[in-house]
Amino acid sequence: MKIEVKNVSKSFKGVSILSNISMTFESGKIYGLIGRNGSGKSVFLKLLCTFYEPSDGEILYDGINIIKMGKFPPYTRALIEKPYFIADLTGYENLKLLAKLSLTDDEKIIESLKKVNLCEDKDKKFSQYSLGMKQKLGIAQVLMDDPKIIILDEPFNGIEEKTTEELRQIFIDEAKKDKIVIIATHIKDDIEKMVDILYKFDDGKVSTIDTIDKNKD
Amino acid sequence: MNDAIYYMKKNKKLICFSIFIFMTILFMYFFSTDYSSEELFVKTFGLNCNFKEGNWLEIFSLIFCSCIYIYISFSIFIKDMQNNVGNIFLRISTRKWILYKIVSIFIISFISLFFNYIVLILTLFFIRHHFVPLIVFPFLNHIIYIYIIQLLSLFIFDFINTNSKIILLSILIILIMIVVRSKTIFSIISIELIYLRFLCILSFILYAWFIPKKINLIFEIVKEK
Repeated sequence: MKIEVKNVSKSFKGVSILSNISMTFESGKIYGLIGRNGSGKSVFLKLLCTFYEPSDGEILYDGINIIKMGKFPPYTRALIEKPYFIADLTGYENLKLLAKLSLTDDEKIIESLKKVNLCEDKDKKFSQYSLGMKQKLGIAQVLMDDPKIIILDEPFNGIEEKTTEELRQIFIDEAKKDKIVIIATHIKDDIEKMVDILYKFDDGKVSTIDTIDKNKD
Repeated sequence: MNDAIYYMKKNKKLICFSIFIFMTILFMYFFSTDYSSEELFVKTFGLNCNFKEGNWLEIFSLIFCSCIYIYISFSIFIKDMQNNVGNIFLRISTRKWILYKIVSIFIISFISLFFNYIVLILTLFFIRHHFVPLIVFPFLNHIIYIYIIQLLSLFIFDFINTNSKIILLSILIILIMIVVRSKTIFSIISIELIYLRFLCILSFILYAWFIPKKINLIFEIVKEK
């Protein structure tokens, strides 16, 4: 699987948010997007998910411009901005509701909850969840469908260090399964050791591309 | 089901408020006129509205009722876009989502209007000691009329946010269909059910066909707000 971003720009009401961005994402790699808050990372992720249409340029999934076909990218799951679920349902019930849309079985739901260390709290209402638990549930909804493209926006927000370490390993394992993992964060240390390629967002432009040697430590 | 639970939980005050308003209108007519139970019922919902006669209370009833149901349609339509974009839209096609939405708007509006009718029928039973007969026909006309207004409002909202010519064309088609029956269109009980059904099905097909192609332009506006 390959995603090609070609000269993409995005503006809202004349205000430029992203300007002439070109990138390529390939299977089996973890990509990090870093930049301060407001640098355009979340808008870029929404463009990748085709929730927004580029003002200029194109995004190709395996050579196909799916936005022109009025479709969302295939085999893709995303957690963008804050995780939102129904407050009065439990974590498990929320995932079950989403699983109905994607025809995912119960086993996969439980498996993903175990991965993010949320299985013990799965029967608590979402309204009773802490910030970290909400974030874990958001990651569980991404992982449960076994997607080929994983898009995460600030995934480690509010999550304790032990689980963060485990999640990093999960994302590395997912990439090894020939998946594309894209993680955006404003804290470079969160992802520096796990990503293969790091893109830096600054004022709507991708200014630097670093290829990380994960074996340097 | 999810939409119905959301509507019930988020709009308890609105449901109570609308019932309060309709009850107030009913009692205003009850204490000031000699209308039969059937007439009281029709007047309370503004089902026989005549703008030329200028009965402000009937006009108010019609507009109030329409506004309530337009609000319902918008709150159900926008809910997922405001909060659940990543969770829902990568799992379901836009066409399927639009279909789910416009069907659930109809079901929730149907139940809500039915509930309003029941409350008024029971109230009339207590004050007049007999049931209002033959309300099935006005009810069907009323719910289909409301649904057309809801779809038309959503169409206009979508056009404002997308500037799509095809959406504008759809709006014009529906408006022309309404203007053709302008003499009776505000008198809901006078419109032939077949005509209303045809207009309703046409609006439904146009909406389900054209809006999915423009959905990401609507996402941008909803999120921006």
